[in-house]
Amino acid sequence: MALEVNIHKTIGSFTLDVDFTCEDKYIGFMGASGSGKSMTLKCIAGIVAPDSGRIALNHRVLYDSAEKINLLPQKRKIGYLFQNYALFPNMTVIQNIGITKPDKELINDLIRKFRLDGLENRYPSQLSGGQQQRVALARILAYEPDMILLDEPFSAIDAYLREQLRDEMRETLSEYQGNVMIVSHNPEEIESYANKMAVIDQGRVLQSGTVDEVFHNPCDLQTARIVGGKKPYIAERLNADNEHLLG
Amino acid sequence: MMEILTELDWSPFWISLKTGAAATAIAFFLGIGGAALVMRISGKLQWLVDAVLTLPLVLPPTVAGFFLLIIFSVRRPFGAFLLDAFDIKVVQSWNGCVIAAVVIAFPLMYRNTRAAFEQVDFTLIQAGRTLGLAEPVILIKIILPNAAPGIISGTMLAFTRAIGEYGATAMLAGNILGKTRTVSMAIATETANGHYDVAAVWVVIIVILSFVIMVVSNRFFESKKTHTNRW
Repeated sequence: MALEVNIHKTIGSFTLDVDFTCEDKYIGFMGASGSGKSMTLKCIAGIVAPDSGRIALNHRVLYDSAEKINLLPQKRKIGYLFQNYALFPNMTVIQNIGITKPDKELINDLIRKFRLDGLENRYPSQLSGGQQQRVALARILAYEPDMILLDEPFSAIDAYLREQLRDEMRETLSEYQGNVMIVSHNPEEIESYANKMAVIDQGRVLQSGTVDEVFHNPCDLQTARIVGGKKPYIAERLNADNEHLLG
Repeated sequence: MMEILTELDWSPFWISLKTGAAATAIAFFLGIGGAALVMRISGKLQWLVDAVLTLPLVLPPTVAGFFLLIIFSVRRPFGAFLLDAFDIKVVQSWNGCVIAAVVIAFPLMYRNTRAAFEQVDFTLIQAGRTLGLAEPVILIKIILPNAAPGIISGTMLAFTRAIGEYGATAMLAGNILGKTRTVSMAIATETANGHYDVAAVWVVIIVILSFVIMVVSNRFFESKKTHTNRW
């Protein structure tokens, strides 16, 4: 299992220039809003085209500007959990989950696994945020993708439910065989999922490595700020850096 | 009054209705196809294509009729070809009524459909793509159902416009009783001949018909709405 990403894209005055590889099942991707996190995910999924570069998953080339390869999103087998879940409003829970494969047994399995019993014939607008998220994840798993991209999966969830849903989703994904990339600006979410991570700011990777490494040893002040000035050991370092900067 | 009704030649009514139905059916598919096409092209070309497709709405219908006459005249290559190869005559025929009505009603269908397409959350389309759904499946199963209210209102407007078409129809199809004389054409003819009472009967009929269509479509939307905002 290996993900290689090396992409360049310019949109107006914003330049995305991201380069990282990951051999782990999970990778965390951290950055402030507007840093290019979601754009990177969209490039990997193929719903946004980079200007140049290369993307490969398990040595399968998804995009390579030099070789003029750009697989359609339909051919990439990469599931995308959108921030707003993107459930089809005109379809019931069962129809949403079964959109890729009308396999009754599989759908029923997922309904049970995601505790959606009794909600089968509801429409997305009749579900809570947490339920919608479970339907969206079930819909992705029914498709059996090689990789799942989680785009700020808990940003739209009420704060008091976040931790519970985070743990639930991690458990569900523990049975999943493919890669998982989680994008977040919340250090606890990254920490609870990933061993490897990258920090992105203004379209560039500031630091990548193990979560421990990045959290304990941020390479510069901006990285430290992004991974969380609230953590004591980072705050300490942040202060040291500030003193250093103040001379 | 009853005398007028019993002696009335109802053919303009049926010709209008038939023309409206046929033209709306054609404009329905062309409008959806045009809107789907314009959603896929980008930048300046999109403006250009949009302007061309909307032109019949802003041009005087007689101008559209003039262009159609030039295209379909049997003395010109395309019209002659249609007549020779398929035995299809457009000028001074019911085909002309339909084509004129399609051209005039098309922009209403196209613009309403496109506005409805613009309102469909783009992440739904992206979600469909990342789930491996082919583009036609995404269009039919996701985009069209979610754009349905706009498409239906476009269809209603196209139909009311098509049954009332006058200018382009007069240029292309003429005014042959029992063949191309629609209700609008009948009103003009009867008025010109001083038969105001007969013209008035047709006016009442067309007002009632248009009103009923609008009321029915509004009722339909009211029933679909979950709440109403009143300014």
